[in-house]
Amino acid sequence: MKKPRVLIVDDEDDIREVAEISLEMIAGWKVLTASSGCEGLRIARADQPDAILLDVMMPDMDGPTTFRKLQDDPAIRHIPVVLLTAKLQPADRRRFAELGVAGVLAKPFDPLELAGQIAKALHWPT
Amino acid sequence: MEERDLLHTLMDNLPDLIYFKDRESRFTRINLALAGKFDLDHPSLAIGKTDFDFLPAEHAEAFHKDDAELLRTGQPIVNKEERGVWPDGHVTWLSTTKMPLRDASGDIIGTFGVSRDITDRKQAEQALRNSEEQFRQLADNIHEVFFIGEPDPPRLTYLSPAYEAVWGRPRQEAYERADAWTDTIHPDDRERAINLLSRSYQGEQASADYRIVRPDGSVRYIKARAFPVRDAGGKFCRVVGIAEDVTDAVRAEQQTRLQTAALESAANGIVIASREGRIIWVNPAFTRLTGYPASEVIGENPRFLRSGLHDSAFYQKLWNTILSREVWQGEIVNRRKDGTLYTEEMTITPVCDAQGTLSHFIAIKQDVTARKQAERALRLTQFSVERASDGIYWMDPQGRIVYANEAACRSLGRSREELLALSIPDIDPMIRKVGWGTAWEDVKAQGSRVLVTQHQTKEGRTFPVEVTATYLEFDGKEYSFAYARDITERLRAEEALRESEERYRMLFQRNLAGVFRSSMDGKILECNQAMANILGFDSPQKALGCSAPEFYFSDEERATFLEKLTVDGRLSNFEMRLRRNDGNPVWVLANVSLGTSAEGGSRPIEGTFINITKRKLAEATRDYLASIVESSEDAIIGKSLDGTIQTWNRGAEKLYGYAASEVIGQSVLFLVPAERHKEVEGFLNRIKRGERIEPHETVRIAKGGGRLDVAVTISPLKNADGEVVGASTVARDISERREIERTKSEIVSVVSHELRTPLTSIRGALGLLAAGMLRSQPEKGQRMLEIAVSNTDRLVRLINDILDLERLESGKMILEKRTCTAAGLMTQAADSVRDLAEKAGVTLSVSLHSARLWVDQDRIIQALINLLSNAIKFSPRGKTIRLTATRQADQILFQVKDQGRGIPQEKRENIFERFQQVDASDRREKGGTGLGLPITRSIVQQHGGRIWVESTLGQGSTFSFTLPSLPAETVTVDDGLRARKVLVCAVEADIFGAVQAVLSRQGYTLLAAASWQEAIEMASIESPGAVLVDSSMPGMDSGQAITALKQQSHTRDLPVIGLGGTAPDEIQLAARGMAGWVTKPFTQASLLPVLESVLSKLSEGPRVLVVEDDADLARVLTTVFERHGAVVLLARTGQEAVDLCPSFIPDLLVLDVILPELDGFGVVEQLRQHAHLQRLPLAVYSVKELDDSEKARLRLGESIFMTKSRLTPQEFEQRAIGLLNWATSGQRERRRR
Repeated sequence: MKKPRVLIVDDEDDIREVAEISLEMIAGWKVLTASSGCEGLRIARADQPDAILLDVMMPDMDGPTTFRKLQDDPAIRHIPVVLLTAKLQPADRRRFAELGVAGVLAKPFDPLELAGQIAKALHWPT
Repeated sequence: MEERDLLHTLMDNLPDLIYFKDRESRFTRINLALAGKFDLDHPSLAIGKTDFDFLPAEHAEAFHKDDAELLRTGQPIVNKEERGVWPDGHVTWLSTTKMPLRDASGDIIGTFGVSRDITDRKQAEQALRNSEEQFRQLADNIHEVFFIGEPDPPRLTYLSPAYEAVWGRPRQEAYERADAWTDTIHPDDRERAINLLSRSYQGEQASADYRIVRPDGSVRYIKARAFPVRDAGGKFCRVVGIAEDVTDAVRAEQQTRLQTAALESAANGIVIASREGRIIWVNPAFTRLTGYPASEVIGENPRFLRSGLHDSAFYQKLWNTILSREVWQGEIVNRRKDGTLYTEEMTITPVCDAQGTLSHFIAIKQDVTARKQAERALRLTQFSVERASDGIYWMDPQGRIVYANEAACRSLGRSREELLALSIPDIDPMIRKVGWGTAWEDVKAQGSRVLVTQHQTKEGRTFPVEVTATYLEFDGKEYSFAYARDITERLRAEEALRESEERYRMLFQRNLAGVFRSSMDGKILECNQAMANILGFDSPQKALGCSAPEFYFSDEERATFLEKLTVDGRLSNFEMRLRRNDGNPVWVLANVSLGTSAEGGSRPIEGTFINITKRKLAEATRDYLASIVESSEDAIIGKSLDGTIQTWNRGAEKLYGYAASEVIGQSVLFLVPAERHKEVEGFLNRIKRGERIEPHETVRIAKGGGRLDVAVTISPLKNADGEVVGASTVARDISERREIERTKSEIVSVVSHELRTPLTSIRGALGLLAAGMLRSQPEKGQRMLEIAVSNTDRLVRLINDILDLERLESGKMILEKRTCTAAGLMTQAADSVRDLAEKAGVTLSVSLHSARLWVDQDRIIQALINLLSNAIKFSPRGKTIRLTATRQADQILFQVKDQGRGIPQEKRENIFERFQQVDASDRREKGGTGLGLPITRSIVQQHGGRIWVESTLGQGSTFSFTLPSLPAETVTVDDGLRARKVLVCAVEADIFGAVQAVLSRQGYTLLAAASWQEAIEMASIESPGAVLVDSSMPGMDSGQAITALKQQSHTRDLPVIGLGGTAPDEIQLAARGMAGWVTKPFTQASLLPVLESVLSKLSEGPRVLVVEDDADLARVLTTVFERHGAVVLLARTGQEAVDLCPSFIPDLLVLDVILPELDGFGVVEQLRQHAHLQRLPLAVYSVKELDDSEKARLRLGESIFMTKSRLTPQEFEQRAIGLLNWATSGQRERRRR
């Protein structure tokens, strides 16, 4: 598999930075970033990443809403999404699962494991 | 001669007739009188004449005869009465005395005579004789008795013959004896008659009526009148009287009276009518009968009595009968005056006069109404006797039955004829045994007897009878009259009654209810065992005779009980308390009534009492429990086993919103959401088995359909037998709790997210570093460290804010409030964000306000900083942020106005909630935790204020909050106060802060003005003591600047202090119109004295330096000294004091011993090093008593030592002021420079 391109959508700059470094340096993936759901959708449409790491708690448009918008758009609905969230209650997990995302990751994450967790969720060969 | 003349004169003048005749009866001389009689002009004309010449022959003859006689006999004729007829015809009577006339030798030569005219006398005598004769005739012929009496001595002189006829006695005896007359008088009237007599004999006119008794014994009525007769002299000389026999009249009168009385009193009505039929007279009986008084009917025709029941033929027949002078008799129905009818038997008798002509009718009426009624009654009686159900018998003394009624015959089975042939023993076997005679005697003796005996029928059957027998005399004969009643049934009934009474008695005794009877005011008359128990007695006997009133529990209850009982005569199911024998109360249910009183005594109370004490206690408990249920805040619902709501307390009403009336009777399921119905039914089933449903949380539906989160416990309700009869649900609204939990979990999740976000960055950064991934890229590695550090800081800030907010909201934050000025707060907040503003290129404009607040200084500054930093964050470069404070009545309004892009409407509502961020850019600025506004809000609210935001998109936003303020200082132009206001004019806002910092501790009020305009406005409003003008104000270099101030009337005299670089010299100062200069940068020590010197020009008061770190105490001290006209400077620490003293040179130093930085001892030590301060008067006060060595260390000049606890404020004031006055009096020259 060629180098996967992953779009990170998170409003926190530092998290984006750390995740970017993590995925690029540890997994050698190509990383795109967006600081909002809107931006994320735009980039997704434009660049067709292989996966999207989507933060749940964002102002303006939160993760699940962004995901639904993604689903509504046939051009990008096929892109698998992994949610990144600090909310880990079982109720929340159920809610996310019902969305139909490929996976849910917890914050804080181990930067060394991030790529592996994403790959596992997406059933990518490691 | 004279003698003869005299004689002649005498003769002529005498009225008597005097003559002298010769022997031939010829007049020789007559007197004048006689001449007159002879009708002669002169007496001499008679000489030689004889009587024949003048008198009629027969008279003259008589006279001559007399003369002859006289001559012959020579005997005088004395007083011979003669009748004389004179020539003119009139007649007189004469009384003549004739005498022979003798000469000297005694021979008769003639005669002479003297005649007196006694005509009058004769007439009188004749009259008298006539009258006597008449009188005699009268007296002899009248029936009246005429009498005359002489008074002296009283005697009867005449009594007419009629006396004999009337009195029946001879007159003679009356003449002879006075009492003969009085004896004739009826003894009863004698006195009266004698009275008459005596009065009349005294000359009174009197009359009297009296009776006499004639010899034959008959009585006559006499009416006597006596009249006094007076003689010519008026003296009473005799009595004349007349006595009439008025017996007939009297009798007649009596008769009439009797008759009238008889008529009057006749029981029958009597009417006398005229022939025409008009009523002339009616008697009282008529009035009684008809109702018409006599006055109304006299003159009327009696037809007014017509009843209308008789036809006109009837009346016509009547009239015809009596007109034909026949008596009419019959019954007639009349109408009384009052309209009622009555029946009368009337007899009308025509009356004819002496001629037989019809003159009157007399009608006699007899009211037979009563009689008719009586007749009818009698018939009725007879009928009823005959028909009576009891046997009625009349017996004669022998016991023979002389009358028996129908019932008697029937009861004995005999015919009347048979019975009348029998006697009592034949029908009464018991009398047969005893004997009739005894029975008769008994009845006769007692008058009436009741006995129970037996009667026997014809067939021989006997039956018991009660006989009432009465003894009577009727028509002269003796009888016994008896009722006989068959008492078979009665006996049977009595027996039954006896039996039932017996049963009753047993019932009474054995009754479980207390049965009793008492007299109304007193004793217990009857009482059964149960009642005795209620009252606390062992047995009824012990209760009997006790006084019932003792057993009422209270006077009120007794009164109510008796009142109610008396009103209705009975009481049903009346609950009341009685008092047992042992004094304890017992609740009873009373069913009582007033019984009938025997022998007219007071009515007894009788009835039943049931002991309901247990029930009452149960009720009380139940009521108590019910009120607990009712007052409970939880919803308590009682249901039957099928789920029907039976009880619904107030808590249920509140929780569900339904009133009890709306739900009782409904199934409880309507409160339960559909999905839980099965569950609830399951509960009910378990309840039926007696299980209790454990407390659990569930959902119910309130009125309106809203869902309620409730915590519910369901328990079975059991009756007294332990059977489950229903369920009780206690429900508590846990919505709030849920809400809180939800909020909490939400907060927790949000917070945890917020916390995790920086942690993610930290973890990520450090993880990468730790793994050595970035060894080859040191910049990246450095970056990672920076990320880690900054996010750690962020985390710290976040955690602090979270905790702050938590403490604020839970009220755990302790606010340390103190008096602050708005200006001070604003200045400090502005200072803190100054760098931030600079970096952002934003201008900060602060308009200070002198208002005082009682707030936690640090927190308010924190709030202001929050708002300011937000404003700075959201303001583009070059824009200005304004911080203002305005007084609004009793609060201060703080406002932070920015010129940013504004806040959209939808964000404004939630802007004070946690973690609301307008946009992501907020995060980029590392300041934001998302909790700034919530914290600010909480701070404001904790101070009792309000916070809100107004915003216009594209123009900017204004965050406003209010804080309660302390009352505004009264603006007086008192120099002392005025001296404490300083107007600071500066364009650079930090000047305010710097000045504020110095001034506020000294108790100065700072007024901030950023422009000349503001300055003038403020100066006019606030009347400050001095103006501090910063060099940043326009026109400061030239004097023109101040001109503005000088031009205004109220600021002309305001001392101006310049604040800036090098101080101009005095000339320049004066030129600029300034009173002083402070170089920048300034310190407290450089600013204050100048200010003081300028300000204290206004007041001549002594200067006091108060060294005190306790703000409140400092304020008190300041006020005390200022009140006495002193200028007070405040030093907070010993060091400050040491710094200030040299320049301030106070007249008095007030020193607390305990001070920060440098304590009192240290201060004194240092001040001693200044020559001009060594003699400074000192008022030292300390918490505890100082010993001598300590005092010695604290002396400067004249020093006094005061212990805080030992002095009252007044005493402190006194001593301090005393010292001050002493200090100033001798040291007025020690003014400031």
